Amino acid sequence: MISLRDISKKFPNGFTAVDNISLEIEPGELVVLIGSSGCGKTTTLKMINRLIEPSAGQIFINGEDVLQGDPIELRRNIGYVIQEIGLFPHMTIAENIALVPQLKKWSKAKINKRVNELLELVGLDPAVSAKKFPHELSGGQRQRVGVVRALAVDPPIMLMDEPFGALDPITREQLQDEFLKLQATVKKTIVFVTHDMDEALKLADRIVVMHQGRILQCARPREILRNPANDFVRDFVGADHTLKQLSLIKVREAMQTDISTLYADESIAAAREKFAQGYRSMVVIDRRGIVKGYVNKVHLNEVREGPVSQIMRTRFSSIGPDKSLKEALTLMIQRDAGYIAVIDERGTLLGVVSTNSLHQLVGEPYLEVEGEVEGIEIS
Amino acid sequence: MKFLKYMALHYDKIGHLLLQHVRVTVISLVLAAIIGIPLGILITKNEKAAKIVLYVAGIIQTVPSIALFGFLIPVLGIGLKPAVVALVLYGQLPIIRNVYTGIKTISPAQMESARGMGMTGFQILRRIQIPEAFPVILGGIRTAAVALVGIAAIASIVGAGGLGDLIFEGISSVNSTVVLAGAIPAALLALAIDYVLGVLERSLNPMPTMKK
Ligand SMILES: Nc1ncnc2c1ncn2[C@@H]1O[C@H](COP(=O)(O)OP(=O)(O)OP(=O)(O)O)[C@@H](O)[C@H]1O
Ligand SMILES: [Mg+2]
Repeated sequence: MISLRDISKKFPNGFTAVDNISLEIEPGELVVLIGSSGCGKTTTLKMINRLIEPSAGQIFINGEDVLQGDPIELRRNIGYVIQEIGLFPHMTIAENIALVPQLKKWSKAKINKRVNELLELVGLDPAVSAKKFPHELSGGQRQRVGVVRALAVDPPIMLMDEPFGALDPITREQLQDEFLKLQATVKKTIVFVTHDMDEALKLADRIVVMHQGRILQCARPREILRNPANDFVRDFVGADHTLKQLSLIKVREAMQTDISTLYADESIAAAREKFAQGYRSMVVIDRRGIVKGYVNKVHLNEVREGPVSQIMRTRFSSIGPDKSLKEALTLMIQRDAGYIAVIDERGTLLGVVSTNSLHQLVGEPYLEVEGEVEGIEIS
Repeated sequence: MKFLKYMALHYDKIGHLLLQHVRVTVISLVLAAIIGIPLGILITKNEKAAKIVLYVAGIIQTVPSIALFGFLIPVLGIGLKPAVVALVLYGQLPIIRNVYTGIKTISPAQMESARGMGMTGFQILRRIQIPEAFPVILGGIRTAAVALVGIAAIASIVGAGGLGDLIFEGISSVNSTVVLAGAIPAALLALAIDYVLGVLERSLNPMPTMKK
């Protein structure tokens, strides 16, 4: 879709900000450019819509040589979002969004419809927001408007330069989540600049690590974490890259499903037999598979007769299968639990995540659940 | 009392001079804007040119008006012409300066996103720069207008007419009543123009809820 070939930028003052980089971006791919300040991310981005003209190299979009064409027409077909947003203060939100459609000579009716549709897309009520001026919105709302303004004519390509960089952490996460959902439906080809590794890991299909105008590594997030190309990338990824990996892996992928369980209505004697196989803790479910609690081996001696429900502990920790392992670990630490149950929305047991499964991850970066692990050991 | 009596007796003459005054001021102001606004826009594209133009406009401002009229008479003779030329020159600094700063203070982020969304230079000028700088530009015109009313009074010495005629007549005959009969309407005229342009500025402000 987008193809940069041996692109360089030497500024008139003689400084080479981008030094012979090549990059192929697939349709629908979200590529994140990351690197320390001044490494040439913005310069690279702006060469794609020719806000900066490359001093050498070629850029192709869908096979067409961009540098030979009309930059104005090019830009109208590429959404552009910057950190400072650049909404026009003398225009209402609706007018801001309508600008590019107007430049493209859309009819009034079509523009109105599109504006409303876009505002709704990012959770802004058109009846309320359309007539407001930018200074009447919160920072997060303004940035949402910045994003949909860039989406107005449904351009196939979006360039985004630290779009969420100026927001507070909570709003930023919120917008990232919304943005991911949006991208899942609109499937744009996106080049996204950030210097926040967590943001890159969260959003990127592919991460391009830049340093001094060059590309050091270009790979999928997990690959960057597992196999940093060199020490610079390793440092950039950070000492906590193991933990970062946890945020990329879903509970569903890491949970152990082949586990022994107790039924709440089975007898304590039967439970004792199961524990004799060497387990130290087991999840208790009812006959429909809904989690009810857990029993540790030490609880077995509290009551000698009766159903398991008499000795089970009902305060248990659980997590959904689509949460990240990082969240699972956080929960385990908070609750001081050796494992937590993975349940679906109805409370049905899907499996468990234990500190054991996390340990395996550290050694073997990408997880393979071992089939022979049965039940849970709490160490 | 004497003043009011004089006014009552000579209201048609004063009215006539007032109209002359308005005429020379308005003609000059319109011409000053026609020249100053494009000039102010042009120099936003070139820092060096901006420095020079603003410097020259500043110098003109410091030339005493009597001296300027003196220079102009040998070239343009007497009457409306030298008066208008002088007033246009005096109007340049506030107009050019406000156009220039009004446009220059638009944030780089806005300029970047305007370019990034594929607007041409002219579209940016028409849809972003001028509308956004409009209150500031109008402010410059307002400043110029008030100054020109005052200077137009002095233009009476080159035979442009206006309320200056009364002021000078009063001075030469040492009659303060006549001076006042010229000066007070001139001052009221300045206030009225200032008020009208002020109202216009507010009502045309594209950001109605963000009054500056
Ligand atoms: N117009 C210019 N003239 C000269 N040097 C420039 C120009 N624009 C940028 N540079 C330099 O080029 C280098 C790369 O700039 P760029 O804006 O691409 O960095 P960046 O990676 O986006 O950094 P940041 O994370 O701080 O935004 C910087 O060292 C910058 O000083
Ligand atoms: Mg940058």
